[in-house]
Amino acid sequence: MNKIGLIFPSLFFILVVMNSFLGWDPYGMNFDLILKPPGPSGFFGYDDYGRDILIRLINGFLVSFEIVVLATSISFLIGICLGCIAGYFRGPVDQIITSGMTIIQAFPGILLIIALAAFLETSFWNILVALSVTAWIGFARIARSQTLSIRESDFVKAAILMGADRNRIILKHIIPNILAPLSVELNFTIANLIVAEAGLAFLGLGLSSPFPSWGGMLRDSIDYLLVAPHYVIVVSLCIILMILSFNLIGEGLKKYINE
Amino acid sequence: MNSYWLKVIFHYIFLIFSVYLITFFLIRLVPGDPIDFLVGQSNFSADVNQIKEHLGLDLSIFEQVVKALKNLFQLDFGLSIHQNIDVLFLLKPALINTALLAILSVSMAVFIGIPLGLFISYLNSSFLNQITKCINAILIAIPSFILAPILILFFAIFLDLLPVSGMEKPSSILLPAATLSIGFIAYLVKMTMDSTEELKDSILIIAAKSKGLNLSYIYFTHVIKLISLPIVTAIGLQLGGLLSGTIITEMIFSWNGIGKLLIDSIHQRDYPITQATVFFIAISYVTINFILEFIYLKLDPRIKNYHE
Repeated sequence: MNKIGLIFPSLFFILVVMNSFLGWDPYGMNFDLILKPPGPSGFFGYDDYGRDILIRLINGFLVSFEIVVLATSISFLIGICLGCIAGYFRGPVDQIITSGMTIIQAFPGILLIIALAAFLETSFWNILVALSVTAWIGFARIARSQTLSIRESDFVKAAILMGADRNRIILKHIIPNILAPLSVELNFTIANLIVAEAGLAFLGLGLSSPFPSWGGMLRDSIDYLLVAPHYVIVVSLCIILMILSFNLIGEGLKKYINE
Repeated sequence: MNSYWLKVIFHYIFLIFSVYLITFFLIRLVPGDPIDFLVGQSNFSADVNQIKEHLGLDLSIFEQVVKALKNLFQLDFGLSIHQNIDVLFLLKPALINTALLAILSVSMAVFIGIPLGLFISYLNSSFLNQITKCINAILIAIPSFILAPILILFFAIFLDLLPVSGMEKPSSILLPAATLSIGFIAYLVKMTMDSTEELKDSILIIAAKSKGLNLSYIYFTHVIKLISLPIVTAIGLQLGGLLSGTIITEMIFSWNGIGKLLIDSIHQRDYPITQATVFFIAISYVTINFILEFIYLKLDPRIKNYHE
């Protein structure tokens, strides 16, 4: 049942690929079609400038997803490195890394992301930094606790006895064994970062319009709640389905790994 | 008092200082000279010097840190750049408004979510369980900035029952509170159902049943006590998270809480307010976690032994 989660993201990937070949224009305005509800010419209707909502959603997905995937990969790498180091060396190294994590976790939810985005200039890279600063912690926690337990297992002891050095043990023995729980976390992080990125854009701290982004579109659509409810409905449905899909994929992976 | 509490209190003080220093260094992240950024086009040197002095940017970085720490002990968070009044004076009503919203939404969730979860698992129908699980997954996934427009569309526009936004009428609190609590209700229902599921075949329940106790009595007295620890955690985390989670909701409903103050100050580049609000949200979160430790110990005294 969790496989349903694969449908919606893959659909969007197909549309993104089609878009890159056919070059649909997200900025093309048609003033006769302003706020026109869904119909045969535009399946998702048109926005306040007469731009096709579906095409803007596809382009917005491309930008948002680029940021989200990059931020997830960066925080995955940082998290796995610091988590393994903390779990393997323990002692003072572990304490420094753990207290670093607690300090960042003292900022609830997207507060630190908002604060960083507010003080840094809004650009692609700064949003990336703001998202990565908090996202690595989830990975680091899991990597640390898994490393702590695997370090005590017999095969690691055997490797040490055979004279394997530190790097070899971490790279060949520990990391492959902690990848499974981390890959579950990967999907939840993607879902969370989609929400965070859309939230930033919604608050006007993301990439500025006319650039299409899901959060920005949602904010624009709220102004037309009464006149054109299709705008807000279509955009919110897309965001909800995308988040739900990645949550479902994560749950599915978790079940598969545990079995 | 013993080593356990000393550790917890030391940890708490350490967090307050680190959070304060992080918010202190935030303003130094502004690319280039923050003053150019603030003054903008009216680049009079008198203005520049005044603002520099106001923010304490004319001192060396070490002096700035010392001054900032001194200000923390005096609870002095500076003056707002635009309105030229004490930041604390602006913060106080905003904190009260946010706390009102957070407490109402959490209590709504607790009084609906937990009984609902217990009731559904008491009914024990697999069909109902499946449906609840599906609805829960969807409701948990919906972010507040999507839920809010849907609720406004339905309750304020189609049914015309509640005000769209603002804080004039007492009923204005209902829509933002509902926005914040719906996801949490779903989460509580899920949690209560999951933990009751685990307890169902446990020896405790079988013993209570064989004593001849009524099943609903068992659920609402024994089971609720056994599942209370994870639920208290969830409630505490939610209450703390809400202090930041209300940011978007407050913006949508123009609720004059701390989140709206934060975002407005960001858009006006009123950095003393931004720094103080970020600090206060983080500190409330840390404090709630600190209080949670006390409650844990009351609910389950064994926890203390795990740490020692």
